[in-house]
Amino acid sequence: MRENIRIKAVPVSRGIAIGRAQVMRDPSFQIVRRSIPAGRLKDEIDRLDTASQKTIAELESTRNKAVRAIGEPAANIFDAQIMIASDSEFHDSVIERIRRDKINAEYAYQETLADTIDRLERSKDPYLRQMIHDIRAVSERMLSLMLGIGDGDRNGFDRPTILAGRIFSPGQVMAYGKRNVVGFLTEEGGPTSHMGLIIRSLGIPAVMGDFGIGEVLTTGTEVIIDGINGEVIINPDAETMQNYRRMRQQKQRHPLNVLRRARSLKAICRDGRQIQLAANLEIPGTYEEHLVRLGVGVGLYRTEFLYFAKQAFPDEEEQYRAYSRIVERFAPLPVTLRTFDLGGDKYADHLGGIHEDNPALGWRGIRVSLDSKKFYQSQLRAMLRASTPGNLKILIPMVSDSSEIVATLDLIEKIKRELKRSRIAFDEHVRVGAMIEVPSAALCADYLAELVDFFSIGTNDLVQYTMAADRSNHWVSKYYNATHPAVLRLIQMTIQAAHENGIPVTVCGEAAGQKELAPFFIGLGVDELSMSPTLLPGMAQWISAINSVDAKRFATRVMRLTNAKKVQRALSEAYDYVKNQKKGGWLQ
Amino acid sequence: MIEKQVTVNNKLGLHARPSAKVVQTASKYKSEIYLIKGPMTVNVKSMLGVMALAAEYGTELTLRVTGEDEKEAAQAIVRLFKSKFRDAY
Repeated sequence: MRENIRIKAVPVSRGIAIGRAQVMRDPSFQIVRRSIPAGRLKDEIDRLDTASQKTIAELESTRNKAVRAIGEPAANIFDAQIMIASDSEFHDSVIERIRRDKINAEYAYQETLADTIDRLERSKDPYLRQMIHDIRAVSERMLSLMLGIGDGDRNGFDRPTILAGRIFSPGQVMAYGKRNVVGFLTEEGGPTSHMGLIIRSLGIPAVMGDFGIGEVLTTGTEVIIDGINGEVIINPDAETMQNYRRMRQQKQRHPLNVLRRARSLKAICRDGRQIQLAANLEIPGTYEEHLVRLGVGVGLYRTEFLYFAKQAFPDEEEQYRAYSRIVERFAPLPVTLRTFDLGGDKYADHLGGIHEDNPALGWRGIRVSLDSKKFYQSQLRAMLRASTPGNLKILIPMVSDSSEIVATLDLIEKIKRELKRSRIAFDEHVRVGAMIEVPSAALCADYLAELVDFFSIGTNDLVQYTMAADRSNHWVSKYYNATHPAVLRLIQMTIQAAHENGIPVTVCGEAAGQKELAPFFIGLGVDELSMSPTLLPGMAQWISAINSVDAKRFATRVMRLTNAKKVQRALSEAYDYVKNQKKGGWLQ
Repeated sequence: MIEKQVTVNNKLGLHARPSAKVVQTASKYKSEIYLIKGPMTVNVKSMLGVMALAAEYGTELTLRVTGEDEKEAAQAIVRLFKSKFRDAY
């Protein structure tokens, strides 16, 4: 078999996984029609009832497990399945069919269901077709219970295994998630799918793409999943394997274990200057307890997950519950909640889901929020209510003009007055910050800084917008470069404007977690770096090897460089010097 | 018996979440409640039934309610469709 087959993939859950593939075929149940003598029909109906009760009980326990592991909103995903499993009208018509046709339970079940699935399959609407996944998740459980097929694979694997299949139901992910399953490879179910949400909350790397599952990729094949760059390597050669092992060790040595073992995440430079570290969280989950123990707050909490879990806007109460849970859990550590940042194309109906030729330059972030005041108000209200007790900060995404900040602050003032009238407690001094990720915001940072309490630089979008290069478009990937002098200048302007106005700056894009860039950011005076939780221990240690006085001189030198290549060279020189603790040389 | 026309007004159609809401609402009433789309009639208390409607944005459906609390039931379902299956908005 060919070695090193590299296939591009869509990252669904970050991280690197190396293991042996286990192809999970969609179960093809051999269901035959059997005639049942009238006297034995009762047994068939009993079999159906038992399977049905068991399925409902299993789903409910999976749901409870999910509530404990990842919180209520994400667990809502299981509600539709529970309702399908407990549909008594459907159940009765299966029984009727068993009696009328005098046939076996599983055949009657499948036949009765076929109608519904057929109808959905014929639908042109991809969103409605997605309901088939929910129905299949239930029917496969039902059928395997009736046929007495065990859950062999649920018992786990004796070596690191990557599960490959068309798609996995949220319940399957929960069931397989812990037992030596190190990664997921699927053909369907992207980053915003229910499957994707659950996989991410468990911290397991996953990608989606066209991998030729069952042809190129068979059970037993060695596979590497690169959930960071979006790539899959089938049958890696020894060298590739070693590279990725090293990368995995550096980047994500078993994500949770790294944190579990960490003793302290204080990032203090050699000369005593402390850099605040914070975590980017996308969904509630397994990282929280370790972060709280280690005294690290949340620098960026993406509230979109509430939307994705529900495929609709959560109401104020639901948001209040989710926000206050996390704020209380981390108190007195700060939790920065970013208001919804979704592209208009991803929004549902209520906002009149629109088609845009160029969504990145379109209706997203604060623009959508301000155009849908009711939703924005309920989100801000939920945040304000959740602000006490605890330490909550509000962050506005995609700011491109001061008017967006002013409008938001006006709304917040109005809500505060309402809350006061209703005698509802909130933090009077709740801090409001702006994401600096659009060049116009960086260029006007001097007067934006007068309006807000902090800045948070989102490097991913800032690079994309500055360089006019779409990050996910591989034709222009060489233009997408965080180390281009243009990007560095915007970052510097932002930091300078912030400090002149006495407000702190966080860097929260991917660049914040890159060790090569840390001396530069520290040298420019960044106050806080917020990154994926798994990167924190390595970064804390790394920063303790940096002298911030040297870093300052280094940053000044880097700012004079005239192309990205030169910057990269300087950064990697500095990296080597810090790593080997050579004195002086790296700032020349 | 009450019959009313309802339209699926949310852009994503009657997908899992709104379907669940319709079923939950219907289940609160004693009346028999049906939705009719062309030749197809489904029991609104059945999740799979409502899902099988595969009702996209803009689909017009007939709501038929029969029973002692038919007035309240019809009102509740119509309101749900009109509000695009939202919660508290």
